[in-house]
Amino acid sequence: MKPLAEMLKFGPVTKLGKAGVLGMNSRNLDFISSYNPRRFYPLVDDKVITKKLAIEAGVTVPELYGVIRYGGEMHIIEEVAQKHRSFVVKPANGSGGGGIMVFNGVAKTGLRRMNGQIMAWADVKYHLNNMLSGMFSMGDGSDEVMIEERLVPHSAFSKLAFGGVPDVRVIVFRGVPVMAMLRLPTAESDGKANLHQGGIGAGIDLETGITTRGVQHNESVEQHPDFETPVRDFQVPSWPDILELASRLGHHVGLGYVGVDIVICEHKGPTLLELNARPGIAIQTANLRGLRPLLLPIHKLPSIPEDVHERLEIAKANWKGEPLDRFIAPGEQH
Amino acid sequence: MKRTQLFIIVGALIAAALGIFSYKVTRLGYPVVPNLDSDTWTIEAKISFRGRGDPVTLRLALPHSEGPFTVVDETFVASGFGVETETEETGRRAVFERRAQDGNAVIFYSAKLVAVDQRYNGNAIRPAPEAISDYRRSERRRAIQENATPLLVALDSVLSEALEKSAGERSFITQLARLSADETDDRISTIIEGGPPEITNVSDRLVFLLNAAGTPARHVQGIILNTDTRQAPLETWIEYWLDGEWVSAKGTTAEPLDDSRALPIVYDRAPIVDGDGFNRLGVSWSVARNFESQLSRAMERGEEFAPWVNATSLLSLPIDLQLVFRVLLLIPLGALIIVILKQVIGMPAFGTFMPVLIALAFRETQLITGITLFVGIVAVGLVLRAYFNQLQLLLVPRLAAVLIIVTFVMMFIALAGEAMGVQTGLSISLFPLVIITMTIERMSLTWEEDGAQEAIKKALGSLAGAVPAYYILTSEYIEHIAIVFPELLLIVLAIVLLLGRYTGYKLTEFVRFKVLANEAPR
Repeated sequence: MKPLAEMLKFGPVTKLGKAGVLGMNSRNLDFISSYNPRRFYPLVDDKVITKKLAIEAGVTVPELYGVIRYGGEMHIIEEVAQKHRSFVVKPANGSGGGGIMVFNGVAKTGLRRMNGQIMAWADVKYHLNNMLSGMFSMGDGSDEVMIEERLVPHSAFSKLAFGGVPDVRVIVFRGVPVMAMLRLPTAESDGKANLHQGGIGAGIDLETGITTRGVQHNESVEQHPDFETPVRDFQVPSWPDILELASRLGHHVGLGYVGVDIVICEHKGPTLLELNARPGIAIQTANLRGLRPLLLPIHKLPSIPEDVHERLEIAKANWKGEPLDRFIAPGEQH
Repeated sequence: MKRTQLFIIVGALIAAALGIFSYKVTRLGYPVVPNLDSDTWTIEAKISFRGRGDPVTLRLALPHSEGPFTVVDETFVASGFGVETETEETGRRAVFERRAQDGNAVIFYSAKLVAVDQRYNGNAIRPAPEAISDYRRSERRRAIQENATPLLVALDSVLSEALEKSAGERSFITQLARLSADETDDRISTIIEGGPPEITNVSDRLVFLLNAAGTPARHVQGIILNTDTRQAPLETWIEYWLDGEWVSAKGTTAEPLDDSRALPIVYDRAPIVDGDGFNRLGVSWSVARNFESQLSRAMERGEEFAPWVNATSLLSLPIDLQLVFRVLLLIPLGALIIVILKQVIGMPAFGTFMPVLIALAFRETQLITGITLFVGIVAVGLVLRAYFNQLQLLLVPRLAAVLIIVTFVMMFIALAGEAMGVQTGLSISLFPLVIITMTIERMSLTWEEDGAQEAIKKALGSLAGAVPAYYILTSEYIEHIAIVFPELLLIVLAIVLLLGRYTGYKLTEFVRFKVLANEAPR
């Protein structure tokens, strides 16, 4: 193993470099293409496969109500609607949250969306057909539609999430969580937790699970714009479980550098939402901290322990900026 | 060791490129900068036809050396045909003959033309041509007054008026052209009705009137040497005799044309190609401005010292292929621009190669027209796409519908442009339809999902990328370098490979992570 960054650089020159910011080019070359073998991509890009993997790893996942593969299977949506009333539709190979739609009730004419509007059956089916033809998907050609249990967020978020489900994004590198943020939907983001659509990102202290600051549109915010509740100093519920879930899954899936999105459910606790083989770099602004100084020490570790609790020890020491020498087993050198 | 391998490859590419380049420049004297005023041209005619098994005689009009150009290097490629040239009143002609020709045949003619500087040629005394008639002579006018037909009276009146209003020969011609163009004038309509039947339009009339006035004038069909083109249209203009030389001029206004650009081929409405024994005739002319003599000297020198240089030079290709490569060789540069825009600057844009494809389309339309057309077509497309969405169409049929609509919009623009006299015609036909359609689809998706702001930001990003790309792709210097020194494109490849391992920040990331740079001095 070679320290990639040191080979080319004489040392950071720019302010960004000194702050340890991970740029897009470096993320792609030094981490994604070095640590994520292409053959593992389908495991995270296809959410049906991800779900199987997660169950293997002993991780809680939303229940799958049904899969629509062809236009002729549209009746499945009606059956699911009658049986469960509240559910989510998403493209199996979707990217960036595109195409996801949440329903919480059935009316005579159609399905009720979270904002109370009724979406006519014809519109629902048109939307599903668009998903099947791959409009919201990575790659080209067709896709499948997943119908899943609607996750009910933990009550602690009632004054922090507007019209949608908040989630926690954990960046896991070689099975070790390195950075996390809480993503909160706002009225502006239309209930979606995506930062580029106007959601709030809050940095999380990896050791304690308490939020440190919030950003919206790349600008620092103190309060949630819709509730005027503070977004900092919020204790994320079940934090140790979240870290364990992320670490377990990141280790199991075979991708070295992966983003794990977790929803904290009222009843089921931390539940896997999806995995991301190309997690964004905006998490650095939410935490006001560069990723590079957190990634390099783990990159230098000759081996990673199999035990999830040992990996979490490494994660916490790494977050505090402690040297990781004590985690190198005697006799191992890099 | 990926990195070492990469550096070796990059080093080898740059060394090879610079080596060949410097050999060509220092030893063979290839010019680095194009001589944009060069007045040497190559024209090529391609005549295709189908024989019926009978004897074939095909006569092709050729440019001649008496006008503003000298024909230096003429070649005929016509296998199986006998070739002769002959000169007659209407111009010079090549006669191709064959005892029997069955099936398709193609004949090529190519010639190199050097513009003759008229100053050095002025001393040669040339016989003044005779006008067909001269109504200005007094005996003719007396004859007119004696047996006055309406035509002759009208003619006399027009000529007298032009003569009265003019100070010299040149202004007489201008006045005559002005009078002749006015079809509401009774005298002119009399001339139209009573004149020779072959007078069909304004320029015919002007030639007739000029000849009637005793100023020798004639019709010309030829080619205007403007730009490099594979499909040079045949143009019509007139020539009149003024101060001892033929002056080329517009048929409608008698305004003189640029002599160093107007190449006459055939006079007096004679056909460009005639003969018998064939059908399905197709004639196309291509024109290319030649690289200046310095380049041909360099190539001659290369023939002696290093024949491989010439053999691998694109300038040895037929000109229509050369013209293709002049555009093709710019593609690597476009790719480089894209890499820089995406990896180093981080410009938001739709699709990977969109900005350069748009820039290539702008090459045909000019920048401002191009941007207007692009914005207009995309806007119309967005509106229609939104409407189709309401009809709940499936993705691929909806894309196809937008594509068809875009075709119609372009057709409409071409027709409207023609009606208003704005030249858009050929240029927008090369405007990439599919690219525009995909832009519309991606833009409306972004619009729905991420809002109008994000969509417009990306659209502006695509256009902003296209503008510098346009200026690079239309520079004559860069085009010259690319076709004379194609080996320099290896350097472009080397740079692209190096940027492939670039892990530094993108320029836009300095803005995006500004807070981190300012607030986190760790």
